[in-house]
Amino acid sequence: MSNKNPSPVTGSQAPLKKGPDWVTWSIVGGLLIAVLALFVKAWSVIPESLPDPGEHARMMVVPREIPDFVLRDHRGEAFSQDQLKGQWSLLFFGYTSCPDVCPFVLQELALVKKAFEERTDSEREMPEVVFVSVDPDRDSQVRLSEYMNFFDSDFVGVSGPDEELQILASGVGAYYRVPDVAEGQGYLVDHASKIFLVDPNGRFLALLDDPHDPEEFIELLAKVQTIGETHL
Amino acid sequence: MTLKRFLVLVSAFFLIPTQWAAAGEIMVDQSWVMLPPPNSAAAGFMNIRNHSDEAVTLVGAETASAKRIEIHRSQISDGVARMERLEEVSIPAHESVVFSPKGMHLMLIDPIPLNEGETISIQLKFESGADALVKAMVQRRPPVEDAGSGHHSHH
Repeated sequence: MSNKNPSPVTGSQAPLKKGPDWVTWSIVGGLLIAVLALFVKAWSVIPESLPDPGEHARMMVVPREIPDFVLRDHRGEAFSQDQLKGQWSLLFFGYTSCPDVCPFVLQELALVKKAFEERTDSEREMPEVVFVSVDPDRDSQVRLSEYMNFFDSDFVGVSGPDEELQILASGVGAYYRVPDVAEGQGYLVDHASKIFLVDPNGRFLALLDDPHDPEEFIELLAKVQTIGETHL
Repeated sequence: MTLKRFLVLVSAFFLIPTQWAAAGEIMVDQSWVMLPPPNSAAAGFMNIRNHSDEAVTLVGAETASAKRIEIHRSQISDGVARMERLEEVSIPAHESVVFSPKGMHLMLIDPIPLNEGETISIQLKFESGADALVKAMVQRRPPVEDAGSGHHSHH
């Protein structure tokens, strides 16, 4: 039996008696398995492998840590990144003089909370709703308090100096713009229209569309939370 | 107008939160006002249907229930909500314009205290000089068919 194809291990000094083919093949096979294992490992950390939560949610490929900020809530208590830990939170940025989008979305979230409360079999709880006013000049603590209580007494309204609002807003990538106008004039504020989901570790996890239907939103939320818990 | 009275009576009888207003051939339905938080402006919504052969232009609105009314449009693009004031809204012949949450709305500035379930009157003013009286119920949420966003026109 000729040895035209010696394995690199045995080389040209391969014993003549036994063909080294099995050595070659076991090395090739071993390499193949190693490469395959690498692929499998790589696959599991490739971001695209995150399950798709559907068109109404966008998951962060890497959950974003929210930097340190200090705001004040509508009860007068300090509100920092610590208050975003220990439970799921839904952040919405707006302003109380917003006649249309903000009250509409907060009303939708109040209906989601009611739907959660009517469920007896739900493993999930209603996340904490945090309304971040980007209009601190007009939205005093008293103003925020009457505003939040109108929707749900558990909803939290927060605001504070623009520098601190900027930290939170840029931490989750929420855009807003308050125009420069003379005091006392009515003005319209541009603000993010999506809802920002923050996980119990205080990390920004996903961007959600506002809930058109409470039951669908609850399902979407559960899907996104499960993806977050198992993959991120 | 007998027909209008009749329709109003019919919708009231069936507790449909829909009111009709006729100014020539302009019909308004699906009208409602979102119950505002305390000390806040209220947003009014409706469908304005132009059944005439000519375009009509809405130039303003008045109500005894608020200091003044402006026409606004919210626009959501790239995840940002922006709002702008409109001077007028044109409704092409045989089309309708929808005022709905996150789209166009009447902004009732400095409203009197409003209660859920009450009905207020709003007078729409058109460029032609015509008026249309709209009855709108104060509600926390839209009538079921009106839950969509934005505005669109159709025949």
